Amino acid sequence: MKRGLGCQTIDHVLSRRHFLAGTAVAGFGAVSLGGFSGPVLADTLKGDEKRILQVYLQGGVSQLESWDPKPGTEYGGPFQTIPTSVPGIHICELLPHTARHMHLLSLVRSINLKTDDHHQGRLFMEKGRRGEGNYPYVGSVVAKYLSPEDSALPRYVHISTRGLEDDTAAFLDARYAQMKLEGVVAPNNLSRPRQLSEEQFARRSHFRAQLNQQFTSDRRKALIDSYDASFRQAAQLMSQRDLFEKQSEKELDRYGRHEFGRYCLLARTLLEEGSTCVKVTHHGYDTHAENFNFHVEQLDEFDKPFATLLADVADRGMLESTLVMVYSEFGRTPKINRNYGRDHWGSAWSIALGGCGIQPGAVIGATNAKGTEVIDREVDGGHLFHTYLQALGIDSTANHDIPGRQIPIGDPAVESIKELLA
Amino acid sequence: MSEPVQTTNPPDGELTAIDAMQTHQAAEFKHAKPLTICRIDPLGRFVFAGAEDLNVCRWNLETGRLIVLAGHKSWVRSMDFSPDGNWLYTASWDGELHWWLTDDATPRSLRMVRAHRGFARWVRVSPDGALLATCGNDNMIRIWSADVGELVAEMSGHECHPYAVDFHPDGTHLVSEDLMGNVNIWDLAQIKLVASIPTVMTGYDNKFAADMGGARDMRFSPDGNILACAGITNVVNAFAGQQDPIITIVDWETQQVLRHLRPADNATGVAWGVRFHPESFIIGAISKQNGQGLICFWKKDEAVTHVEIEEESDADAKKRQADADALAVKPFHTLKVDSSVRGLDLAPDGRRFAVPLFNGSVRVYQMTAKPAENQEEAGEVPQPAES
Repeated sequence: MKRGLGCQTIDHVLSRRHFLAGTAVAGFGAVSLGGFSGPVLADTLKGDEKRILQVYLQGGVSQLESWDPKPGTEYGGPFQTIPTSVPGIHICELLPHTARHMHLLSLVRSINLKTDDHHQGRLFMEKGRRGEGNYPYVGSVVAKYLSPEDSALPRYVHISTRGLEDDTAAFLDARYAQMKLEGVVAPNNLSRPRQLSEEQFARRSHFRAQLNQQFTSDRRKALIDSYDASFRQAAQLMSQRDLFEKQSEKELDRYGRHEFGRYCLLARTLLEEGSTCVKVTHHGYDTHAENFNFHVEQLDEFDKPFATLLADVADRGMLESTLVMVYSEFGRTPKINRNYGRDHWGSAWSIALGGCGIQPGAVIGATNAKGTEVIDREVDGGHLFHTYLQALGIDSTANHDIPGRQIPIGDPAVESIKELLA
Repeated sequence: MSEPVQTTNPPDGELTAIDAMQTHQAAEFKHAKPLTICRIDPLGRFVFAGAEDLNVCRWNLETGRLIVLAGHKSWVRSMDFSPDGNWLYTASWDGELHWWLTDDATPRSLRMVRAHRGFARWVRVSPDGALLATCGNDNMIRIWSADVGELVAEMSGHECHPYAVDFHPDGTHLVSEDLMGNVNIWDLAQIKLVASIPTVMTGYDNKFAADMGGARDMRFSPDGNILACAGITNVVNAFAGQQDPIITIVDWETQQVLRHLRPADNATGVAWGVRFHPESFIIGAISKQNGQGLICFWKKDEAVTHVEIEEESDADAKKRQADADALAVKPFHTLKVDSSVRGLDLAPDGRRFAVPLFNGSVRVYQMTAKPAENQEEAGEVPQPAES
């Protein structure tokens, strides 16, 4: 469905960095829905480079085999807990490397999405809203409000072996949509064809720009600018192909030479080079059969690269400005099925957060002894969405200022997890 | 708690002919949690079962009396006995190997060694009872002295988790099979890998980017001429358990895969157990994807018959598919079971076997004609599905 374009072009919209600041100064609250024009955080005004690292464990990692283990209980399974760098916090033995960096993370152990559906769970965790509503993913929101205009790299990069072609930007324009990288390779169709010399290729690019200009002259500038910006961002990757082709042997020794290790190393590079949102997907957690064997395999592959990435981000002084999320679309059933599997479970599960704006070493909420229900501080995707954005200094209670419309950034019915915010 | 359930009379000493076609349920012992494995001791006194509550259950086969062996901190998925039946060795998923007296009135773990980092997946006793072999998630094979638990040797070479091991009956070699379906042969005198036999017992799930495979049980025939490895092949959707059960028969002399034992109906699932019966048949336990179980009986002579197949570029792919597998052997008899079957063990008398079930039961089956007084109860026990 086409949205109303209104009278504004993208040129009329304040820059992303100053969007919320501008709305505050210009009396944005007066035109937004009542109560949604919260104060703009100072960090946004200061122009700090903030970013987000999302590690998405696709399929639904088991909370019992990761962040909320219950050894020795009815549904506890075969694994033990291990202590972490935070006294009193224990996690599953399958995450020994991550455990050593627990002081950089916090856990939310009380998520109830009230859905056990992959698609619905993913949308809720990414959009902060239930259902199919046309809202942007957290990565696109962050890209819009935090990425600099002159970003040399795509603002929102998603590294994944295969894919879920989501419309992440929704009503935000295409510049803020995810750019999908299928592995540690540059996007397709960006290389200079071998038969063209550099000069010929430059002439072709110039010709394309001229055509664009002609095309733009009698069409809406906002849309053209948006798509042109996307093309430019992707094309910029051409000049930085070494990001994809020259992963150092020494670093690969640290991260691991399997796909996920390489993805985490690329994620670090992209964050260092200025991408605002980097999402890495690790597949293989939908363990309806052989849950325990698969979690041994998958978390063994996840643990060291993730812990190495987390430590590297911290060592580079970037963690204070980088929000780290480790999440899924839901967890897995406490009950173990006949195939040694655990099934879909959105009712009582966990994620890990850390870095920018997040109080480190905290545990929010709790499940009961068997892990079958939340008994303290129940939250859902809406609460988490507000929390992510507020941790990054984005006022999630404000509105997206879309031509002709004001749309609440976060679900107005819920709030952030304030006790988790630093 | 557990309670014994007697469904028919136990063996009364009157010997009748072994006939797989007459197999019927002789007893059932019930536990509150799903079971992971079962074994019958060499003297035929007890059936032991691992459970999802970390305990090992011991039932007296005659009286049904239950004794719990507590001490493991993780699931026990493998156990074995000294040849004289005095000792029980149990391996658990936290890497521990425990020693128990088999008939201890108040059982306690008398020795424990941390055998592996990560799961201790399997334990087997050497034919002379002097050694124990284990494998685990540190990709190592380790040999221990059975009397004092000292590490005698360790062998590396698997690049992924080894799932099971077994000693050759002559005691000179050990075999191990890993997640990728590779059967490694180790010379125990030299502590050296001497051969690796690829099988089709593995699969890569493209959608979820994960491997699944490996032996869920592994047994040499008593004469040592063939090796049977139970597990899976033809992985379609690993995370939903959609793959084919298979028991691969390997010829020891030629180190070639001879045949693939398949269920009659090409059901999807996992083969969790295999045993050679002295009466020239092979028994396999299969857990179907739909939650039902199968106990299949194959003729041993069919399982060792060599088949000439035209080698093609996609020969392995065809071998994975039940309908196209030229090496497939179908059972001469099948019993249906109303729960997932997670293992199998044969009693020393050769007349009974036991299976552990997902529903918490150990069922004991007898391969002879039913006692006359129980013939009317035939409807209560699993019926032959096919002959």
